[in-house]
Amino acid sequence: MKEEGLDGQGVNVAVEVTPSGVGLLADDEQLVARGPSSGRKRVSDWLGRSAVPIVWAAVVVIFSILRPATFPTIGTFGAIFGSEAVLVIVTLGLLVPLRAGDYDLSVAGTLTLSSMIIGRLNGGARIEIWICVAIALAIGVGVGLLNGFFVRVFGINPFIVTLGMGTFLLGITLLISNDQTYAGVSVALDDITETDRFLGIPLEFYYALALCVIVWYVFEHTTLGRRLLFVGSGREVARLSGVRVERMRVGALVVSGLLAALAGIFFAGTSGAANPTAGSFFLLPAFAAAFLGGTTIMPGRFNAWGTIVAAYFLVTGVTGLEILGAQSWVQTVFYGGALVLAVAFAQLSKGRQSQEII
Amino acid sequence: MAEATTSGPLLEIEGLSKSFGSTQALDRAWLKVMPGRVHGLVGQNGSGKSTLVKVLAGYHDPDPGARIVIGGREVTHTLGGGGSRANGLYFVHQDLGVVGALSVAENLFIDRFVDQPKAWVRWRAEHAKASELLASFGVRVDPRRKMAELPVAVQAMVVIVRAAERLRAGSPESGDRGGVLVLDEATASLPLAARDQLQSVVRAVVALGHAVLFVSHFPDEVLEWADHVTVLRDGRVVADRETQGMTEDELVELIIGRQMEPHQGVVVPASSGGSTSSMVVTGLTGQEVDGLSFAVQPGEVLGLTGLVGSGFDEVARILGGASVARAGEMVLDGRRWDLTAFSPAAARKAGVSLVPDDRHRLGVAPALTVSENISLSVLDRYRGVAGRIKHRRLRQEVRRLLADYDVRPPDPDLPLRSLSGGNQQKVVIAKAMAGAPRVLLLDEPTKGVDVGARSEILEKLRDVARAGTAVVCSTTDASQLEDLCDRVLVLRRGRLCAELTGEAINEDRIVEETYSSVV
Repeated sequence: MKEEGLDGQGVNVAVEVTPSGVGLLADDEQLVARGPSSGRKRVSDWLGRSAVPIVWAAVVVIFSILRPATFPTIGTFGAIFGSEAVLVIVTLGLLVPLRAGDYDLSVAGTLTLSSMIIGRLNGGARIEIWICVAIALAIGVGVGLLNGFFVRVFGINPFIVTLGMGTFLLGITLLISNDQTYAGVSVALDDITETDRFLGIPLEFYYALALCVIVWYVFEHTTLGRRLLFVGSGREVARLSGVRVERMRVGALVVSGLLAALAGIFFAGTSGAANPTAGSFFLLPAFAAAFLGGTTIMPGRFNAWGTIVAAYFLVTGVTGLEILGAQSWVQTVFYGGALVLAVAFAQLSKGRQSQEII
Repeated sequence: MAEATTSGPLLEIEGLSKSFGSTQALDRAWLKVMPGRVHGLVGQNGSGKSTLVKVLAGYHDPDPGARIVIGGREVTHTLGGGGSRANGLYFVHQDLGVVGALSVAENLFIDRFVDQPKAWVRWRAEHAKASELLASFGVRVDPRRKMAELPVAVQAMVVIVRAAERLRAGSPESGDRGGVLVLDEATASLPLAARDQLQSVVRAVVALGHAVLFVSHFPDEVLEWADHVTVLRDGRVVADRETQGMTEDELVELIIGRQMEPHQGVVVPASSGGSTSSMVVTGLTGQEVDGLSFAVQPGEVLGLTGLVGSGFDEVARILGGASVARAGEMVLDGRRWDLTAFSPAAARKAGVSLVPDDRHRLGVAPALTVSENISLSVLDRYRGVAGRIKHRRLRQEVRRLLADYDVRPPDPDLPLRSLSGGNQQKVVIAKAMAGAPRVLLLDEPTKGVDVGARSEILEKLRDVARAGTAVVCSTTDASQLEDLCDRVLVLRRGRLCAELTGEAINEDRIVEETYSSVV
């Protein structure tokens, strides 16, 4: 079977047969086991997995050539890696329900509400920052539980539940903020997110990186992650194998709520203020990064490293275009286009096996 | 021809042959269906019965030389789905083809809503018309109710009324001529009580001058419903006669092509063995199975079989935790399990493992790798600190299982969907056996599997039993039961009707028991 798939057929087939296995990153033994006969397949596999990082590198080179004075600077890279850590964190959270086969469209609403909790209570009411952080995180968990409640008890599609929840939360944010921006968020929070740097990059980048490692580890190396994968790509199989499917789905929504709230805290820290609508912009880039990430590193699966690469690729593209003088419209066009193309590419590489994972 | 318009056959088939490669599914079959009559069409699996129906439905083209006359007009070309309908044929299958979310009236007039889209619908008038139409067939149901809220039997009645309405409206050029309603195993999944009600609806349909072609597995039902019966065996018509005065034994003999052997009351109380390590099931009742009790010993291969709807296949699903029982309990290894509160997790804990019949939906996740699929149910055994998977040891175990079950290619990292059907099924069985269960349940274990893989799988299942696992296999494949089983239970209408052991486990005898009604 395997050999038949290799010879004389196009890249599509080769990508389709790609074992997006756990082992690829985890286990060298596998490459040996694959044997010498599949050399060509390994090359096309490698290209498929590495397409996004390669394009990312190309984009960096192109912008550096076009704007040698402004683009390849510590300042620009610091901005790209630091400020967009919020996007990476919210996307990694989103990845958990996606891996379980469910959408969570409320992450941007949770993020915005969480940042406004910080702005209103800390910036406005001068409540101790750590208490505000705890409240924001608790609200994130609460949102996840509420989403999970409707999904599990009423059996509603999470797409709809979280779509409503996201809009509901934006409304609540407007309510508690009285439609105002709250500045004066604790300098301590600003310090540990944006101001303090390591190797010229704000600390929050390293938090995002650490979170990526945790998500990767749980997804690929724990029994929990393996079960989550089956809930997403073979729900009835998982159920019949004794996996508590509904519990896993609720848990995934709770994790995405918690991480969206964490992203909101960092968002407030990074900007030193909370704006009642700014957070809602994160929804589309988060989905674009998650889906584009699902086509790379381990094609066909939502995966942590692919996501972080995709997120920074998208941000690099937008930043570079803005340095070239593009207007603000370019951001929405870029993210929207990337989402659709990423999904189209994922579909193409899977051939006829539609809607299995992504 | 002029005379035929009033009393000639509504459907006439002559010299209908159909071969698939070297297999001759139909050999000069013929059929003549008269108006005002219920015409039974029976035969066992492989008799050509369903091929004939599929030719009529336009799904298969007949081999050259066949003559098919519907409503007095010879059909020369392929029938095609819509074509057969325009010719005065209407099919109702086991899957009724209703839209659950729509009302009874909408389902009833669905064709009209599609064919003649009007800008608006006068609902009051439509509902009145629907009520009147249904009542004329003796069906009393509120036409505004959602289809999905109704019992399946009532849905079936609505569908039959819809069919009759279509037959009336379907072929205006044929004037007052009736049409033919084909009921293709449409009663197989209905509860027994509901079938009587349905029968009166069917009678009302033929009273209008239509004919009903009643395709069924159940000899007793055919005798009860049909005026005339055609029996197919090995693609040929072996009998065509009035049902008046025919006994069920006669009909069964025609179906299976042999004399029924005199039965010596083979029904043995199921609790025959009772060693502590055996699995004992008592009073198992579900949607179809009704108060079944049996035991199975370690190392034994127990077969379960019966006609569609007899509940033989429900047993494995319930014991595997996939469906919930209405009553019953199971004792395994001295532990008692309430089957009304059973679950897949409980089944695993009890030591029961299921190989479900729908491989792609229930058995494995096709997009994931062979290794991931096999290891799903035993992950906990390879769980290290903080839930870490012990990859190396898990991998060894997966490799061992792949070799054991002879999965080809034995590469744990291939996505499952790149394997052939037979090898996928081996993976499903290896996955079920990975936890070393006490009891392995199989639901049609060789469905969609090529001949070579089939014999490998059966051989492997015997090995599994020899190693001390109890194997329970439900299938309609009598030759598989003969090859595999130490004991076979035949179910009929949810109850045990025969228990076969030793020499009695042969294909002929199993088929005979399946169709007979000795209870």
